[in-house]
Amino acid sequence: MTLKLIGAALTVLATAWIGFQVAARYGRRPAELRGFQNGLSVLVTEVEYGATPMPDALRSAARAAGPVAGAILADAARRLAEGAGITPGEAVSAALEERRGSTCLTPADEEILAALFPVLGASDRQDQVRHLRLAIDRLAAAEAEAADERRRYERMYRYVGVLSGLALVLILI
Amino acid sequence: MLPEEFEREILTCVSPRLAGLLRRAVPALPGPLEEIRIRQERPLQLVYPGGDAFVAPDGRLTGDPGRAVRPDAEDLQRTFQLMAKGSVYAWEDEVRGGFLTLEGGHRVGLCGRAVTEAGRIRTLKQVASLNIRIAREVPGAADGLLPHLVRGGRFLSTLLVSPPQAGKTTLLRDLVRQLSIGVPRLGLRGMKVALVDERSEVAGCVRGVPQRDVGPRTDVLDGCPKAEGLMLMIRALSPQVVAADEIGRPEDATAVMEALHAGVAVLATAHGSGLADVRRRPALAELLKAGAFERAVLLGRSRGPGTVEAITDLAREVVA
Amino acid sequence: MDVQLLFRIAGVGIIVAVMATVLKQAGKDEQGQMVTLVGVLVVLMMVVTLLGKFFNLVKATFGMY
Repeated sequence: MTLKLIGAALTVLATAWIGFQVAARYGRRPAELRGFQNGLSVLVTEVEYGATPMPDALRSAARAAGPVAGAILADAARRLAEGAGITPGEAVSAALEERRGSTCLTPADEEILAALFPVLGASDRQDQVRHLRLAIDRLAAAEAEAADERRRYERMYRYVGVLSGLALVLILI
Repeated sequence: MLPEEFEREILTCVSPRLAGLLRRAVPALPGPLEEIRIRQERPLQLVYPGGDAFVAPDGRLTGDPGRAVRPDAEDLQRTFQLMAKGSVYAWEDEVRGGFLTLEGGHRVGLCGRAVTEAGRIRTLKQVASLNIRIAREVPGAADGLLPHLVRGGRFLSTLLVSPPQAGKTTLLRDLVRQLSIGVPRLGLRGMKVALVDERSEVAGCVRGVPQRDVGPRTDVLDGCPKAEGLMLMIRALSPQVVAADEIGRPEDATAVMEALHAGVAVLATAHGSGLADVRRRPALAELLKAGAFERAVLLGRSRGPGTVEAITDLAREVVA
Repeated sequence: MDVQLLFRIAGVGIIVAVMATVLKQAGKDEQGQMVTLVGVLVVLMMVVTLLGKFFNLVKATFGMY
């Protein structure tokens, strides 16, 4: 009897965990997108008013960008500072590539960032600021969409996780 | 220039493809490298004293421009970006002035499509031509000259008059350096020198830090218009000598007079083929008449760049 | 009567109802309907098993009819 109970509990726990994990992805995406927006905003300030060189500008941006986006920008800054003749865009691209699995960004989100790569650090202030602001706007739109999805699906997946576990238990025992 | 320096200061700033070619071609030059001319869709050219050569696709030198490598837009764009340390926007003022300075003091002349705003250049859009001028210091260039410019432990205000390409900047640099260090054999103590380097040619500053040796007691104001810079430095830095390259405008002359009134010795250069030539410019003629300079040095190329053709004691001239 | 089976049917019914609601609320109508369908099938299967047992019992009680 106890064995059955333990088995049941484990089953429910397992399905619930899966459900919660999926739900968490929906929860993290808006935060990550916001992080990138904040980082890029700092970048705009550094470029426009400080004319700060890219490695330092990226470092400042990383500090404001939260855990996930911050780690990527900091990594890009590190790659850039190491020399070896890469452009800032390539540095960010490589940093993003390395962490691809651990972010909650969709391919569309990554597209927004990818649009910046060829331009980053390659033109005058006005142009840079223009491109960065465009990216920030697009990220804001993506964040709004992500928040909506989160509202709809976060709760749902949690429930589905727990409930399917219970259903399995009931059917199989 | 040492290979490691070349590698570090120049090759890290050009696109990898061009770097590979230069790495092979430059050691094969018959003389020290003076310039690297990178032009879009045009032959890659190296200039050394007395001649030039083109770079073939295999990295060897050739005299035939038809066989030379032609850098493409990607090469130019990437090289420009690397030179700007990935931060082109941070070099707007320099780009507007038509040049960048690399670490090591090498000047890169820029050419391309200018973006104008209200009739003035705002920035360069597509850089299609890069001319890297390799910096060379010649310590000791002023050795022979200094004894004539010092009297009683004091440096005499001097005007260097020079036609183009006669080594006046190199000479100015070495003079500044030696004045800063001091010349014991002439009884000259090291002096506080204030250098106004309007076009970053003398000290080759990058982010305000001189890349060339201009002496331990020298302050450099980089990229600042001469007249304003001179006044600023006299007021703020209590120099014993002020130095400026290529004076000629009325404002420059005013600033020089101010310096003299403040008891500061002046070391300056001016374009010209001789004193008579200089006197034809009203501002400079005024200065000479007012006895601003005690010595005038005429430079030329008769025995190679940097030849001192004549030294004139202006005080005696004026008196006489 | 297998009370346990009755509870199981009831349990499955409740779970299916809640899941269908949650899914419909999140906008996933088709998934909600699918869950309802599956739930009905499962319950049907349980009931059929129950009925089968019941008929066997009847047969046994009254001898082969």
